[in-house]
Amino acid sequence: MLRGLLLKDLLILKKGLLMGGTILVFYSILGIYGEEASSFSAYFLLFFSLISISSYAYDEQARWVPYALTTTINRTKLVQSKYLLAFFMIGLGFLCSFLLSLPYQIVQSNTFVLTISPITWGFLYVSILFNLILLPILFKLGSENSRIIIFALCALPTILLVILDKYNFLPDMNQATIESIIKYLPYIGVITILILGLLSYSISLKIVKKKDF
Amino acid sequence: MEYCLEITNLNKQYTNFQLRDISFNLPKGTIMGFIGENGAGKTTTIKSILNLINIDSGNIVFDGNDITRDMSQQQKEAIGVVLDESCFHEMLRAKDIQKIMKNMYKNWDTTMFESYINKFKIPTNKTIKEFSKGTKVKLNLAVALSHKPKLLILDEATSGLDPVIRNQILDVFLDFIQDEEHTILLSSHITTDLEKICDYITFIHEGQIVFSHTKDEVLENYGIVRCSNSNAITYDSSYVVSMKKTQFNSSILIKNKGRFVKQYPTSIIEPVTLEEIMLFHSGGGQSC
Repeated sequence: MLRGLLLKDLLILKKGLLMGGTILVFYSILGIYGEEASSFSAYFLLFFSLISISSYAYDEQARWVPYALTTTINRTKLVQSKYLLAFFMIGLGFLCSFLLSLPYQIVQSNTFVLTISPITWGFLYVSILFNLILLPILFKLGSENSRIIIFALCALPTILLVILDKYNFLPDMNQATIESIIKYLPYIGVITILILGLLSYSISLKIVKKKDF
Repeated sequence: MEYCLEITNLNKQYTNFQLRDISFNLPKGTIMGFIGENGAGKTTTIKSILNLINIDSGNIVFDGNDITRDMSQQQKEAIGVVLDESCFHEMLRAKDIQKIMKNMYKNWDTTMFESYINKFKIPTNKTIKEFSKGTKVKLNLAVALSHKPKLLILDEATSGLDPVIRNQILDVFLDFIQDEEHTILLSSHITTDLEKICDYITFIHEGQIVFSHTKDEVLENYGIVRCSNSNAITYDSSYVVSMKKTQFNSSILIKNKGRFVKQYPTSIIEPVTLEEIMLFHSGGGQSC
């Protein structure tokens, strides 16, 4: 059943993925000869993390969900398929980002080391976090209204940080503090993702189970 | 008599609409036409049966099993659904649908699906976006039939189709119920189609069931009396369902035609169609 749902998503996203992927590869080739590789890490992960919105929007356009629920799909499987799709796409974005960083290393520094930059890890974390926050909103409000919320979610923290920094409300951190934060960041990242993941999934399930289609 | 579907006292409240005490039974091996004007509650009732909406109260039994709050995978395998619009993404092709559905239904029969594709002349090299409305409906029907359901539920599936395609689809329904294990619930306001093929008729109006009987009983029980306005008021109101008055005469929809004829032997009673029953009930006259 889940396989059928995921197959459906891949078939409908195929064209968009190919087009988007081609554009990304083009920019990556430019990026290889530029000075900053982190930008195409960001683009790849951003592109793939937004796939869940596209998938949901396509489903809404086709009025797929009410029909799907008359098949062998139940509401739980419906929610699970969207989470699986989101994580699969993020994983794919991460892999693409990593693979394209290798030619960059060769061109820029004549080295070939299988390593993932901290920035890529950072974008991976942000992509997962983004989808964990996004998916319950999508289930509750639909794709059209979610776009406004997403914009607010991205814009508001940024504006807040800029204001706090402008008026010197951000704490000064010395090198030692920064290093200890970085040391524990992976553990903090994994724990927050696990907790938020469970919370996000429970909320999504509750929303979908209560919804009238 | 064995029932495929038994609905008892279904209630669902919305802000501006309410399903009230919906009760009817669908015998196995029959076709039931579910009629009502737009907004009467047909789709809401069907969505309740399919667990698409959470009902306030009531009971729904399918094949002896309670499906009021939830349906098992096995029960869902046994129900084929065709909704009023195509629910497949427009960029998909028939073969894509085949791949998806094969992974969703254990009972999926690829050979059967391909035979329906050929029978309905559904193009395999075009996307759904390029299909006509009739072809989309035929594709939906092919999908619904290809996982070998016991019950087929169609919600306004034939609306907007030309008579040729509608006839073709009705023939498929008649084939489907040849095996008396198969049952169809067909919601439609195209009453001429229902008169052709249905065994039972359930009429819903403003969220309530008006009647649920065999088609023959309905057509025998109701009639139209045309008379002068002065004669119209002499009839016992217990027979009168609804009346349409013009300046010179009245048309009255009556029930219990057999008893009416005995009581008023000189009255001329015309046979009635399902469409007329609907029109009289739905504000085509004053109710009594």
